[in-house]
Amino acid sequence: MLRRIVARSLLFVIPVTVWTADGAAQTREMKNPLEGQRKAIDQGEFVYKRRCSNCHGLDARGYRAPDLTAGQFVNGTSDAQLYRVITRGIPTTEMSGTNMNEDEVWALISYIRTIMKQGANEATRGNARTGEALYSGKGGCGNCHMVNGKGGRSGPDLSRIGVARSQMALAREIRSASEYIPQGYEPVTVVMRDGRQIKGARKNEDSFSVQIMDTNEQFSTFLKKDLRDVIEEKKSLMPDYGPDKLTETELDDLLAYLRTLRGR
Amino acid sequence: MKVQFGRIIVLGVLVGISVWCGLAAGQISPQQLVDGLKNPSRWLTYSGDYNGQRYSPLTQLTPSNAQQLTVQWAFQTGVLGRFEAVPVVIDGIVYVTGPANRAWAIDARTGRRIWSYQHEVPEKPGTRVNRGFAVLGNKLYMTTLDSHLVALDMKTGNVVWESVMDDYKRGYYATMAPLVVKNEVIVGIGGADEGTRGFIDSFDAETGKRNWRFWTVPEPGSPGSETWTGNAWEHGGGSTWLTGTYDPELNLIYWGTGNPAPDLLGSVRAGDNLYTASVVALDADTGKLRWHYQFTPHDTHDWDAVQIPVLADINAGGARRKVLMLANRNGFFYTLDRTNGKLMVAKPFVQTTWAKEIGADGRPVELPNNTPTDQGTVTCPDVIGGTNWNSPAFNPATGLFYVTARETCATYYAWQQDFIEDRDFFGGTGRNTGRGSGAVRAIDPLTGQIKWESKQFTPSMSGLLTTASGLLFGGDADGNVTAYDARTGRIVWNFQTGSAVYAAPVTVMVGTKQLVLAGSGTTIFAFGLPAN
Repeated sequence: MLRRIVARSLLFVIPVTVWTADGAAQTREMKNPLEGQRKAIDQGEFVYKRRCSNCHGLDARGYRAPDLTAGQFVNGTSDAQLYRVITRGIPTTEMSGTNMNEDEVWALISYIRTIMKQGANEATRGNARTGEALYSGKGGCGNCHMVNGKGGRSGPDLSRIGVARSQMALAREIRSASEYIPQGYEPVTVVMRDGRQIKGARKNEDSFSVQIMDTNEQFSTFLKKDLRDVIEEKKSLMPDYGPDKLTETELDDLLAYLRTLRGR
Repeated sequence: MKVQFGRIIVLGVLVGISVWCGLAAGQISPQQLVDGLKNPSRWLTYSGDYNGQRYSPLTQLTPSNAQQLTVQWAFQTGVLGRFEAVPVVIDGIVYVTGPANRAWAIDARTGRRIWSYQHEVPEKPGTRVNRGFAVLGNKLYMTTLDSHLVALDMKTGNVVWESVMDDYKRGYYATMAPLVVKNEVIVGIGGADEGTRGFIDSFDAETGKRNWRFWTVPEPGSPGSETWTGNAWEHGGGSTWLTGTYDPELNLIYWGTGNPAPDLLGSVRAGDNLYTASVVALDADTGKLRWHYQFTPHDTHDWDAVQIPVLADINAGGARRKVLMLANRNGFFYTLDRTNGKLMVAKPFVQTTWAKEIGADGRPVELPNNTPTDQGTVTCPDVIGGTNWNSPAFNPATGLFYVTARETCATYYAWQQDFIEDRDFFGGTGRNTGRGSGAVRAIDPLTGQIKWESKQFTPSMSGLLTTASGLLFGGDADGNVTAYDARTGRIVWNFQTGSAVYAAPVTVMVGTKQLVLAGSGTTIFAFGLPAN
C-alpha cells in the first residue's frame, strides 16, 4: 500500500514540477510511466469511452473532433504534449481540459497509443488549389465562414478546421449540414406578435429571451413575452451540398483545401 | 403584587427552560429542529422542516407584490464551482457552505462576512460541491470531500471535532448536508460510481463518536443479500449522497439510496440489488431497517433515488394518511404510505420509455429493449434523470407537489469493466439524444396528475421553495431565479443571476423584512421588497 502511495505521489509531482519550472522545453521530458502496460491500456479504454468518445467517436475516427487513429496531432504526439492537451485542453477550440487523475491521463495516453498504431493517415485525393477556388467561388463558403480573418460570420470559423475534423466528418457535414449543427449556429425563426418572422443563428436562449445573429450579421435580442413563438428550425442555415451541387471530385478538392487550414 | 408574582413565575420558567436545555441565546435545541420553520427568523435544516416540504409559513411576499422583489445584497464567495448549498439561517446570521470544502457565516442584513472556514481539499476530487450545514446547540456540522464529518463552533468557525466517515482513497466522498435528529448527526456518503458500498452513519452530535451504521448493500447472509450475485455486493454502490427526512412521531428517518454499481452494466450483478435505488425507513435511534421500497429494481441507467422523500399528512379517500412523496430520477412520481412503504400512487411526470407503468405490486412493468448494450439503446429519461438531487416542494395549502422536471433521452452504452479502487466504475456511458427541455410541474399527489407546468428552455437541476402566501420560487440552468403563483404556475417575477441556479432558495424574516436567499455561480443573492 505504501509503495502504491509513493508511486502515485511521484505521478502527481513530476508533471507539476516540470511544468512550473520552464514550460514547453521541459514538458518534453515527461514520459508515460504506464506506457504499454496492459492494465493501463484497458483502463484507458474505459476512460476514453466515457470521456472522449462523444466527440472523437467510439471508434476514435473522429465524429466532430480529430481522427485519433490517424496519429497526427497539430499539438504534438509526445507523451508530454498529449498530456498537456488532455489536461489543459486547447484554448478557443472545442477541446476542453479535464480534472482526471494523473494516472488516468497516462492510462488514456497508453490506450491512445494503441489506436494510433491501428490507423492510417487519410489520403488526400483532391487538389487543394482547385478546392480553394471552389471555396471562394462556386461553393460560396466564404460568404458565411471565416478563414484567417477573411469571410463571413454566419457560420463557424474554419481557420483550423483541417486539424479539428476528420475528412470523413467534414464530408458528412458538407453533404448533410443539418446532421450536426454546432452550438451558437442553430437556426431559429423568431415570430413577432404581428406575424413578422426573423431568421438567424441562435447565440443564446433561455425561458425569457433569445439572442440571435440575423442573416445580416446583426445581433438582436427578443423578450419572449413580446413574441408569438421561437421556432427551432431543423435545417441548418448552411445548405446541404449534395452531388448535384458538388461532385465527388469537387468535394475531394474542397476537402483537400480544408485540410490545409491548420490555424495561424 | 399578583402581577409581579406572575412575572416572577414566568421569568423563573424561562430561566428554567434555558438551564434545562443547557442553551445560550441563539443555540438550537432538538425541539427547535422539530418546530422547524415556526420561528420566522430561522431556517434550521437542509429542507427547513424535517418533513422536507420546503413550505415556509411566511406571507410578506405574495403573488401580488413579488414583482417588486429586488436584490438587497450579494455575497461573493470567490470560490469557483457549482454553488449547491442551502443556507442555515439563525436570527440574522446566514451559515452556508460552498465548493471546495469552504464555509462562511454572513450577516443577513448586510451580506458582510463574519467568519470563514476551509477544510483541506483532497487531490483532484471528483466533485467540489457541498450542500450545506446542519445545526445543533452551538455547533454546525458539514461533510467534506474527503469523507469527514466536521463540527464547527457556530460563533467562530473553529473545528470542535472531526470524524472520519470512511476512507476517501477508496472512492468515498461526501457532499450532503447532515441531518440532526435528537442528539445524532446523520450523514450519507457518495462514491457509487467508483464502486464503493453505500451506508448511512449516525454520529454523536457532542462527541463525534459513531452510533450506528446502516449498509445500503447487505453483506452475504443478511436480508436482501439474496438480490445480489457473487461478490458484486462488495462494490455494489447504493450511495446516500443527499439529506433524508424525519418523522418525529414515528421516529423514522427516510433516506433515498443511489444506483447500484457498475452503473450501466447490470449483467455482473443479477438480481434486484437491494437496497439500491430505494427509499429506506430506519429507526432513528438504532439505524435498523423498518421497511424499504425500491423504485428501480436492478437499475441499469444510473437512476439514483436520493431525491428528497417529502412527508405530509393528506386526506385520501376520506382518511388522513401519512404519506411520503418522491419524484424519482427514473421519471415516475410516487406516493407511498410512510408507515409501511406500500405504494399508493405512481405516475410518470416526464416522458418515460423504460416502463409501461408501476404495477399494483409496486414493481415497474418494464418495456423491452432498454438495457444498455455496447451498440447503445435509447431510453428516456437520460442519465441525469427526470429530476435529480434538486429539492422539490410541497404546499399543504394548494395540496400540490412541485418538481423541476427534465425532458431528456439518451443512448445508453454498456461494456465490461474491471473494478479498480478509487476509479470510475460506471460500466458504460449515456449520451443525450438531443438538447431536451425542462419544466416546473405541479403534481397532485393523490392521483399523480400534472395540474400545471411552466416550461423551461434548458433541462435544469434547480431546487424549489413554496410559501403559505401561495408563492413558488425556483431557478434554472440558464441563471434565472423565478417566482411562480403556486396555484396556477403563472410567472410573477424573474431575475437573471448570470449563472446556473442549483440549490433551492430559502426564505426567512430578517428584522421586519422577508428575504429570499438564492445561490448562483459564486454568489448568494438576497432578495426582498424595497424599503418603502
